[in-house]
Amino acid sequence: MKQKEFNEKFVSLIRKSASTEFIELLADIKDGAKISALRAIEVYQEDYQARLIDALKNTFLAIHNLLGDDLFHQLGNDYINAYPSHFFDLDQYGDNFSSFLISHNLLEDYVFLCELANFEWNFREVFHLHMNEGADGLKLMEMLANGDLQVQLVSSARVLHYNYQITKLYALKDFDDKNDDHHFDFHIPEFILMNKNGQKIKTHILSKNQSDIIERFLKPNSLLEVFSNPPPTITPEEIQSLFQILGTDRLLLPNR
Amino acid sequence: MKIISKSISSNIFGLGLRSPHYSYLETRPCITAGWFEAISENYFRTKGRPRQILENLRADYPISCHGVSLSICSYEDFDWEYLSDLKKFYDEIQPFQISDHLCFTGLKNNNLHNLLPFAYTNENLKHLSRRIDQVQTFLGRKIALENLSAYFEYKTSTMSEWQFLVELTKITDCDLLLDLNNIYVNCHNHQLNSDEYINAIPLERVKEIHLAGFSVRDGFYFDSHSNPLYPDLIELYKKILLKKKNIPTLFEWDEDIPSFDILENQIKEIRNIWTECS
Repeated sequence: MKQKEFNEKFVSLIRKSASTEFIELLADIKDGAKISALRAIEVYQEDYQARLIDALKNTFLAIHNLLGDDLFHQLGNDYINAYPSHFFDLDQYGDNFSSFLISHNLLEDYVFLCELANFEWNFREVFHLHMNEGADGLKLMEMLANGDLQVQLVSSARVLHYNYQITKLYALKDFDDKNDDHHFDFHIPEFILMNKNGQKIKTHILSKNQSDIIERFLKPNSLLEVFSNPPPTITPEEIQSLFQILGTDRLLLPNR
Repeated sequence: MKIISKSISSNIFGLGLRSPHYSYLETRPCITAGWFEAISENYFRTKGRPRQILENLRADYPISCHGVSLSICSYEDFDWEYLSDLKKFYDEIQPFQISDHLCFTGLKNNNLHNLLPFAYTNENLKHLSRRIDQVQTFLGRKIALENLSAYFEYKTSTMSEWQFLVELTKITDCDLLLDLNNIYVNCHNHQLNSDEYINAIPLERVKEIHLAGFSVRDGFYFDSHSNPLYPDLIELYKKILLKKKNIPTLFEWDEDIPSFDILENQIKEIRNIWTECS
């Protein structure tokens, strides 16, 4: 068998152990003194699963801790079977995990699972971004004075909203005391601004009104435009605290 | 200010840069290791903390960049975007050495994230020679290629692993990264002669040595990088040192990674062996 054909069949075999490639490939490789050809193929199969499961564990820390090893491994194997890796860096594996979970039967018991996966994936993405620094509090005040100036949210920030209290669920990644009471009502929608602060990731819980406002800055927008049609129930306190976050964490940039 | 990467000095003993040690290294401790090796794919596309750590380290230490996804023995075309990003990364980091593995890692649409063996044939030798030339021309650098641990051998091979490496150095100008742990593991699993192996290797082409600890599974050795150095591996290293001494030598630990001081102790042990062989 030519090497090209071998490579293709080998990849197929690693993914599906009961495939027809098995016998064909075994004819091309020989038993070692200490390890048979059959066992050698098993070693590569086991290794493939283990590496990808580890990559998922490293990104989806809260889901792993919440489900435990056995359930997470089952879920991970289902995902691996559905989505092979096309990445060069194993750390990037898991980009479809959240959407994959939408139709997974685990969702019956863990309704928040795909939202939690989405949060953890965003956390990973923001972690790897270059920190984009916007205007500080003073500069922001100057910008506010010029209502026509177009401003935009920095690229190292994300505006996220969930049907469940995702930050509290995410905190379960560090939960290790089985005696601790970790039961809480997670059926509370959450609006989040996630951004880089130095090498750390910050999450700000926003009100729906604040989230509506900040979403308008995902594209360049002037303050005049943003506030020409504000959310009807927004209060001055909500606006003030939102702009305090934007100034302190330097999250708005003038669009030049 | 652009920092020009340091070149390797008298301290030829390096350690693999791994994330569990980031916090410790950020304190800029006084350490025994003289250089660090970074896995290229862990750093080349991130602008986050891993990249910052690497940027900071290179101000103090020489850096070697070691890839895991080049898949030089693949029969698919290279992913030129990957190579382009890699080239940019090397230009920014200015490593004293770049390397990857003599293997294929899967297919473009299905990376197995493993280092997979190929048959030692003349056909593959010619194929590799073309691919190495393409890569080195594109990157504008010489690359060192590492011998790998393989759990099976091909019936179709027409030469031994070391004969293949020797032939490769004759027909290409690439360098070699000699992983002694891989040699030891392969020689045990396939009953090959490690002395014959290392005696055949042209050491003038070996630009880096890797040392690590393997684990034992059902009677065969597994290249897990999860243990300290084994005495037999030290003996193999001594045999190299008696022939050539100043090859940059790396100790790597990838599974159940211990605290940094344990790795430092391994470096001290390797340094003592090196001094003994002087």
